[in-house]
Amino acid sequence: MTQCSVDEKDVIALEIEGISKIYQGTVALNDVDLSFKKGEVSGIIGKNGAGKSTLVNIISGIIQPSMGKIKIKGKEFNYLSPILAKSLGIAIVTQRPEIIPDFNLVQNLYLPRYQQNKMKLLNWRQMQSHTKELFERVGFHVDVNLRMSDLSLGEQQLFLVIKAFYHENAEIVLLDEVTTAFTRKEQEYFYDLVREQRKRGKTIIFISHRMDEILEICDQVSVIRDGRVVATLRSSETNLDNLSSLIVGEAFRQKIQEETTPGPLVQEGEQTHAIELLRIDKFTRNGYFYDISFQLHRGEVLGIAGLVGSGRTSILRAIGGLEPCENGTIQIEGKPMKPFQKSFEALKEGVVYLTENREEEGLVDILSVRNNLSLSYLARIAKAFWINRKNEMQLASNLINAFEILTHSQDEEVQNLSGGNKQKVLCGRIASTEAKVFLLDEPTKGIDISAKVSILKAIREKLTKNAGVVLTSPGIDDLLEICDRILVLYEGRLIKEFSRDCFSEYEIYRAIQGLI
Amino acid sequence: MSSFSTKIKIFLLDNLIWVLFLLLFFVDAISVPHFFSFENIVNIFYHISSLGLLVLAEGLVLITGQIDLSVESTLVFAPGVALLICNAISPTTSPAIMIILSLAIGFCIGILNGMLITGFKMNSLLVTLATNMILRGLVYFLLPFSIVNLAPGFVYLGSQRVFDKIPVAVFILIGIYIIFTIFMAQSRFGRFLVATGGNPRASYIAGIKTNQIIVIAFGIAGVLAALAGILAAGRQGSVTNSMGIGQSILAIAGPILGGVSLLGGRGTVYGMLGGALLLSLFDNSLTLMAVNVYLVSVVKGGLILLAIILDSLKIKLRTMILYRERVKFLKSTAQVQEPSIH
Repeated sequence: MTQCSVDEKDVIALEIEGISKIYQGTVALNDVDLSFKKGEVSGIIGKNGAGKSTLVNIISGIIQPSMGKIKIKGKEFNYLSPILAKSLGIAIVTQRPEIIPDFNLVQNLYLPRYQQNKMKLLNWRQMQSHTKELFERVGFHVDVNLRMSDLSLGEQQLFLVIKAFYHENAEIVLLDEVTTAFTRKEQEYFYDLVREQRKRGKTIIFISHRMDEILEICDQVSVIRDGRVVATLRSSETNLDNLSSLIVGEAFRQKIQEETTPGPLVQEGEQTHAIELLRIDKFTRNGYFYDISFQLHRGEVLGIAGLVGSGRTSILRAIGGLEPCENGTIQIEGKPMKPFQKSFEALKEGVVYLTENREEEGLVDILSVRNNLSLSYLARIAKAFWINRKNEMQLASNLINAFEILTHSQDEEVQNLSGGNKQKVLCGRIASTEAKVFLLDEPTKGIDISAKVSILKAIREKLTKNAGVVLTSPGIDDLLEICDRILVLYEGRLIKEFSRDCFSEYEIYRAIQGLI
Repeated sequence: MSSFSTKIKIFLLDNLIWVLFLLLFFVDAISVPHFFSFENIVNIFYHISSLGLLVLAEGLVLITGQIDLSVESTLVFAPGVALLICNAISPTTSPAIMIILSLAIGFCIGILNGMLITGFKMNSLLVTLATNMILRGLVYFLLPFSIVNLAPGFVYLGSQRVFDKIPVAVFILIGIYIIFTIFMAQSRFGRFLVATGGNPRASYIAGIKTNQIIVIAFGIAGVLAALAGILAAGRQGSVTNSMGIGQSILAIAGPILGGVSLLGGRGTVYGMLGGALLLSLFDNSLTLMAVNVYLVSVVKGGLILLAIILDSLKIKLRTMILYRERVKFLKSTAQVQEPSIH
């Protein structure tokens, strides 16, 4: 490892010039120029969908840019491949640990290049002792013989960070939202590790949602908004307020003014709002969420905003009977009941959950559009032994019209549909249950803009008719658009509530970061 | 809407097994002596009556994404133990009660399999491998080499013929297949069975009691296996303790030939019947041609292999045809909105 002297500090290790990435219909990155200095930690921050991950994927060679150049060590590249990036000394640790759960730590550390002896046999003893040595040196106190799956998510992330820094000895290390699962202690350890590596002259690119982290650890920070770099600042010259307004953008002031005059959404009538459909009291699951209490009224759309890992999904799933809840009570239309243990118990009481993972947990992809649409209807409403064909076709065609599902026939297998249309099928399915409470977990995830608009419209218009909706979203734009109230979740606790007449993107964004 | 020719293509692909069956049938009819006679054709059905029910039993389990290796032992355990119990209580028990008791025992075995699998989240292959050995062992232990002198009422289903021509067993086989065709297409349970196999997690979240569905599917399989045992016992006039050995494999081959997916979710009842009949047709024509009995097994194995290859080709072809259709559809909608696209 090279100790770098002071004058080496201004050497630029990685430079990107005029990088753009154009997807069909959208521009993910627009003419981005950035340079990363050797021996510095550079932060990249921005809202969801601002283009952070696209940028990271371009640098690590997973995505090829549409335009622009990448300069490393004086060489110019139009694009990188993962192998090329690796050989140039670029390592990446992503939000989801890329490990083999059933391998032990030694096997994972050396993956994919194992040491061989002269007989071309793997030299496990040597690898094991090297791993032990390394862990001792860096103060990572975990038994090397443990399986990866025995480690917590935070420990797995730390392991991968250590692997990138020490084992692969990469010169440029990208850390893409690695801190979401850290405990406080792990966070401190991680900071120490990064600072130590900075001293050694590594170039570290740190991507995060959280402003406090960025300011704590980074030398410089670049703010990305709508695919453009809007500012690159020295951390010492900025503060949380400055940063949040850069992230949210100048437009937020205008938006607030538009929205402070209550739109038509809130005028739906005081009477309908008064009927309480769902009351959650002190829901707790240790390690996931604590003391969650809120009410939902008829005709209301309630948003839950929070960072990844703040517990959004777990809360919705606990209410819907898909994940356990250790403590707390639930009332449906004033009737107290135990938290649901099974999804069909919840469905029986009129509580349905829409999964964030539509491919794996949502659709039965080999069934037709019609059969997918009618699944929950058959489970909850049609209790007869035989299926009434006519009713089913009528139901399907009504839902296809209501949710604007683009399909050439009800009989088309749902796997042939586009992402947005698949999501509409799921929305149609839950709408058919005539439920009282809809729990929608990121319904706009991974779909194109026109499908998004039509789904948000459908949620607002169709699902709230006789029911209430609880909605989560990775970004707050969707929530601002259709919610009556927004609850902000931070590290498993509800810390703030905004009602529609005092929505402010800036304030909500800060609250999501834990700043109130 | 899809064009007519696409519909025909898809129809033929979806019913590939029947296309094969008819093809082979005509080849046999022309080339194999004594094949194309009323008696022989009835024989093909009679020959498959017991295995055909096993194929259906296995097929239903496969559709839920599980597998049942114990059907071949249930086939003898259920009627065997029912007979032992009835004979112990009173030698003059009514055959109807014997039959009902057999079916009930089969049902219980299936339910037990299903509960073990869903209750402990165990792999169905391993669970039924174990229960199969347990049942077979119990059969060897409990039954003498064979139970003969069965009550005439008990063997009626398997041995008698209507108008001296068509065996009762053939009517039972076809009747049950018709019932299950309607059942799978029109009943709520049938739909849930397919959905559970297609995506168990999604089905559960959609509000289906997936565990219950799987347990019942195994229960039905148990009943069908017991009925298959009664037919087989009737045909040979006895219950022997080696009955059914090796039939699980054929019972799996039948549905696979008929287009059922091992991954669950895909398959039709009439496809299973086609699979069962194709197996029987092969047996029959090769026997008529006096082919060595071991070579029959070779040919059957080859047939199964061929079916699997055809199946994967079929899926590719089907996807391709449907993809083209979809592209056409998207183009046509795009043209409606923006006629100036060219």
